[in-house]
Amino acid sequence: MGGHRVVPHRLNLSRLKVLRSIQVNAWPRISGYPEDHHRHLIVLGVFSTISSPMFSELAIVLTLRAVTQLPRETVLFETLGKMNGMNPFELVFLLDVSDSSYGEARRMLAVVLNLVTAKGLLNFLESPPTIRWVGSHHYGRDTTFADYW
Amino acid sequence: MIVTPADRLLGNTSPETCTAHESTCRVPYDIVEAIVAHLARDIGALKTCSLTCRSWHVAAVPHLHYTLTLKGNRPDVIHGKPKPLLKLHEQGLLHLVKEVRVWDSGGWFVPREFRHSDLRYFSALTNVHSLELQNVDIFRFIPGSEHWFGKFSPTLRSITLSNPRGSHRQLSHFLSLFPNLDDVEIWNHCPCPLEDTIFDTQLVSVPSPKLRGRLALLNFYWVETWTHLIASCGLRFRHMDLRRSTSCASVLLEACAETLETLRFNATEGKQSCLDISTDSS
Repeated sequence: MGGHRVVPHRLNLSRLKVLRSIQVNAWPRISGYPEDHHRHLIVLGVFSTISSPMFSELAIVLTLRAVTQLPRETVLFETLGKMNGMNPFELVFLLDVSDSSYGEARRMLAVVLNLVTAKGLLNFLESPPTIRWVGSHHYGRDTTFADYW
Repeated sequence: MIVTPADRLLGNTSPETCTAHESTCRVPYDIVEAIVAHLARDIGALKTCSLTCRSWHVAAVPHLHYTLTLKGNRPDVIHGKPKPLLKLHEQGLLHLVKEVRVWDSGGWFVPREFRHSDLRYFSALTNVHSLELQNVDIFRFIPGSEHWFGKFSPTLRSITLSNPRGSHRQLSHFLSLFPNLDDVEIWNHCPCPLEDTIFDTQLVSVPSPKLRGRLALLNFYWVETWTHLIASCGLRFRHMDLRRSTSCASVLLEACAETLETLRFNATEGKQSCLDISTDSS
């Protein structure tokens, strides 16, 4: 991991032989919440320990408030780019919202991703990110962001 | 041809003509099942369906009684009889219950509150797949937890414990009661008084749960619960969600190295706080 700062962490994924996906909560910073300056480095550090040949997906779990913060999260996208260079993945945005908020959250995220794409922050991806809902009764119901790309 | 209510009463209708009610009842049963399944979360609609005719009633009733929730300070628990449970028992519907939720905010879900004879209501819950216990004092069911929860053993696949109170040994013993248990979710464990752990050394963890589905932990720090289960039966979880529970992470990841497919964690934790020595490794 030359050139990257490393924050010691407790999640060593190097022994996981069939790890397919990691899902990260509370990654985009939400204004008003205590800032943790290490969160990008923690995720980067954990990611760097992955050795599973089956790994193919990185998912960012988003609340409704976190969606609005995405355009300002340039460091997050820089970190994603570095991670993709280390071990390519498909990017997924998991909306952790209630049934009633899902429609609004999905529309908002589509707009935000268009902004982010226009800035070129997702140029490192080979395929468009996917939006998925993790509402309690709808886990696994996917919609591809390509529909809104 | 316009058929008036009077014609219907007098039978002056052609053989092909039928009422909306009759049409509804002629819908093939598999279509009825599909329609009712779409309404599974709408209790009001399910109740309406169940009143339509016999075939709709048969299709709706399993969904209506799928979840049994006992909640509140004392959810109609009078002289040891939780009324919803008693009512279902009297109607012979307990076998339809697949999900049991006990949300105890008043400390009523303890063995001494129930008369021994009323164990038969729990015993009649023979088809429960999912059990959710909120604020349960596990230590109060020990010894003898098999008598209370043993009937769930053959069918139980998923368990959720919110704020469970007990020792780590009691908790692992409780989980090991269910041989087909796949999914475990625990939020905020609370230790029990030391004097309530005197039976811990006598607890035997058999049979072994399968534990091959999803593990979700929030604010859970007892590594010993898992080391005991790993030693007694092994863990085979495929999905893990660890939030503010990273002290258990290394043991759990090691145990599920061959099976874990998905890991969820918080970006703001996992850091070893006392070793926060960011280094340049370029």
